[in-house]
Amino acid sequence: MSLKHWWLALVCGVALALPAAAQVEPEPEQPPPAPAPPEAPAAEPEKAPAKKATSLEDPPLHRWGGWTISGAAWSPELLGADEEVAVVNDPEIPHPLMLGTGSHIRESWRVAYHLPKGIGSVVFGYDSMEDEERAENALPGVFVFVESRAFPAFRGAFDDDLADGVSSGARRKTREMRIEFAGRAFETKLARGTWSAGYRSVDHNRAVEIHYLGIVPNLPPVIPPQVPNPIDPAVFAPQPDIVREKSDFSGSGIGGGLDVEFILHPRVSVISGLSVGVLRGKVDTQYTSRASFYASTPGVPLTREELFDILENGTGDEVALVHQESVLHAIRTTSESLPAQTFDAYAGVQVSIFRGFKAFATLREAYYQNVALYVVPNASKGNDRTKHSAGYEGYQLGVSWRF
Amino acid sequence: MRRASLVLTLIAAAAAASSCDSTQPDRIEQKTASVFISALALAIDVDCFDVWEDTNNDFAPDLNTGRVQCFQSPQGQANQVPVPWRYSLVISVIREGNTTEELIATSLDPSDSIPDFGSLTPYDTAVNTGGSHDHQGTTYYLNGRQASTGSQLFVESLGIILGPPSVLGVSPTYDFTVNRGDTIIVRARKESVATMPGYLSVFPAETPPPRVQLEGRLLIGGQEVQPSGTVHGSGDDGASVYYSFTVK
Repeated sequence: MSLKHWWLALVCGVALALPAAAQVEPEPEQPPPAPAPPEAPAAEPEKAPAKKATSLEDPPLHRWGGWTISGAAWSPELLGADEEVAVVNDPEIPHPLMLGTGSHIRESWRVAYHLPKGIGSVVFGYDSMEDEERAENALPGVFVFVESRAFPAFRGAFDDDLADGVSSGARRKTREMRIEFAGRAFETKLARGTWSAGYRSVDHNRAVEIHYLGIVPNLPPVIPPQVPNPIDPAVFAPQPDIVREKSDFSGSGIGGGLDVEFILHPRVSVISGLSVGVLRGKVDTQYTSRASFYASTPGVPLTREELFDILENGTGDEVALVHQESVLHAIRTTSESLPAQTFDAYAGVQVSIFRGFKAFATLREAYYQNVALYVVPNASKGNDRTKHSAGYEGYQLGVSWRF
Repeated sequence: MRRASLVLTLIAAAAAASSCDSTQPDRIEQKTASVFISALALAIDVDCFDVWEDTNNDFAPDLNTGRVQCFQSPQGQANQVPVPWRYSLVISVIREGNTTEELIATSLDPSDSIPDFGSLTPYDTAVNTGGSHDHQGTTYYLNGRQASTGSQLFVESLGIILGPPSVLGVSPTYDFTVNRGDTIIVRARKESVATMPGYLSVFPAETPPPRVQLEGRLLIGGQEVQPSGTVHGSGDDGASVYYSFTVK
C-alpha cells in the first residue's frame, strides 16, 4: 500500500472514531422492571424481537472468564520488497530488471482469554507470511544485462559487466507474534473501541540468489581444422556469475493499538483498527559473489581479445590451456543491532452469524519497517549498507468464536 | 426459497467466472530458418577455351579434346568474388526457455557419411562469352569465355573436382524449422589452405597463401536477418564464422 493510502486509512479511522467517541452518553438508568401480568397475551409479541437481538450478542463471561478464537485466511501481496537483479542496458534509457513478488494464501490466528468480570483480555496473535518467486530473463547472444548485484570484478562473460541471461529467485518470510493486554476504550450505542498494548516479536528472513549467464557467448568455434576433433562448446561456455544475499532479522519490542467497531445493525458492523510497534532486533547478513575469468596461464586473466585470438587462431595445444578460474567476494555480519517499526491496519465488515460466532472480511495492511539489512562489499574495500522494509496487503476472510 | 435461489445464482456466477480463463496457451509459430555460407577471395580474371586439335594439319581444328584451358586475361584484374571453399559446420538451437544447446546438424559427426569438410561454398557464377587466344601449333582455343579463378569452369579446367556447392549436402541453403523464441547458433570453419586444392595459387592475386573469407548469412522465413556474432570471417588460415539469432 502506498503511503497515501496509509494516511487515508488512518484519517478515516480517526474521523469515524472521534464522532463515535463524542456520542458517549450516560446510559439512562433503567426503570425497575414492572412485573408483567402473568397471563398478558400482548407481552408475547414484544418479547420475541428482544430475544432475537440478544441471541446475536456475545455470550456472557463465565466465572472463569471466556475465550475468543479467531482464524482468518488471506492472500497478502508482498510490497516494497522487490529485488533489483540487474540493469537492462537499454540504449535509450537503462532500466532496472526487478524480481517481483506474488501472493500466497496464508493464515492469521488470534486467541483471546477474557478475564473474569470484564477486567480485560489477554490476546495472543500469530501471523506468518511467506513469498517465494523465481524469474528467468534471457536474450541469448545479446549481452544487455548489467550485473549490478555482483561484486565489480571479473563480472560478465568477458569481464565487461554484461550477461545475456539472468536467472533469479528470492524468498521472503515474515512471522509476527503478539501477546497483548486489551481493554475497553469506549462503548456507545453506535461504536465500541478496544485498546491493546503489549509485547510483540518479529522475524523477517529474506534471501536472493541471482545467476548471471552467458548463454550464447559466440566464441570462436573450437572445431576442425583448428583442432583434430570438435571440442564440446560447453567446455568454454562462460561459468555463470552467482550472487547470493540474505538477511535474517529477529526482534522484539512493545506495541499498542486501537480497534473500533461501528454497529450498523445488530447483525452487521464495520470494524477497523490500527496497531503500531517499535522493536529492537538483531540481524545476520551474508553476501557472496562468485565470478570467473578466462586464463591460459593460471592466475593471469585473458582479455576478450586475447581469448578470441587463441580460440580463433591458436594451436590445439594453446586452446587446451584455456580454462576458467573463479573469484569469490563475500562478507558476513552477525548480530548487528537494528531498530525496526511495525504498522498494522485493517478495515472491513463483520457479520454475526449466531450467538458468539462471527464472520469478517477486511482489507489489511501490514508494514514492517527496517527489518532487513544488506551489507555488500564495495570496490574500495568498504561496505555498503542498505536497510529494507516489507509490506503486506490483502483481503482477509475469517471467523471468530466467543465461548 | 429466495435465499436458495440467491445461493444458486452466486454459485452459477462463480462457475461462469472461473471458466473465463484468460491464460490461453501461446500459439506456437513455426518458421523456416535457412543457413547459407559463402566465401570471398581475390580472384584473377581468366579467359577459358575449349581445346581443339588439328589432326590432319589442314590448319582447321577438327577434334574437340573435351578439355578446357584457361589463361590469365590480358586485361585481367583481381576482384573480390565468391570462391568455392570447403568448411566444417555445426548448427544448433537453444529452444525458448532453455539454456542448453540442441544440435540440429553438423558435419563433424564421425558416425555419419558427411565428411568434416563436406560443405562447399558457391562458385563465382559470372561467366561471359568472349576472349581469344592464338593457336599453338596444332592446338586451337575456341569458344572463349571470361571468368575468374573462382569459377567452376576454371577450377575444373585444372582437373580439380570439388563438386557442387552445398550446405551439409543440400543446396543452396540448409533449412530447418524453428519456433518463435528459439535461438539459432551457427559455427563454421574453413578448411586449411594446406589441404584445399590450390586453384587460387595458379594465378595468385596476392602473396600466398590466398586470404579466403567465410561469410555467413541467415534467413528466417525467407527474410535475411542480422545475427549477433561474427558473420564475416577473417582471411587467416582456418578462420571461422560464428553467429546467433533469436527468432522473434
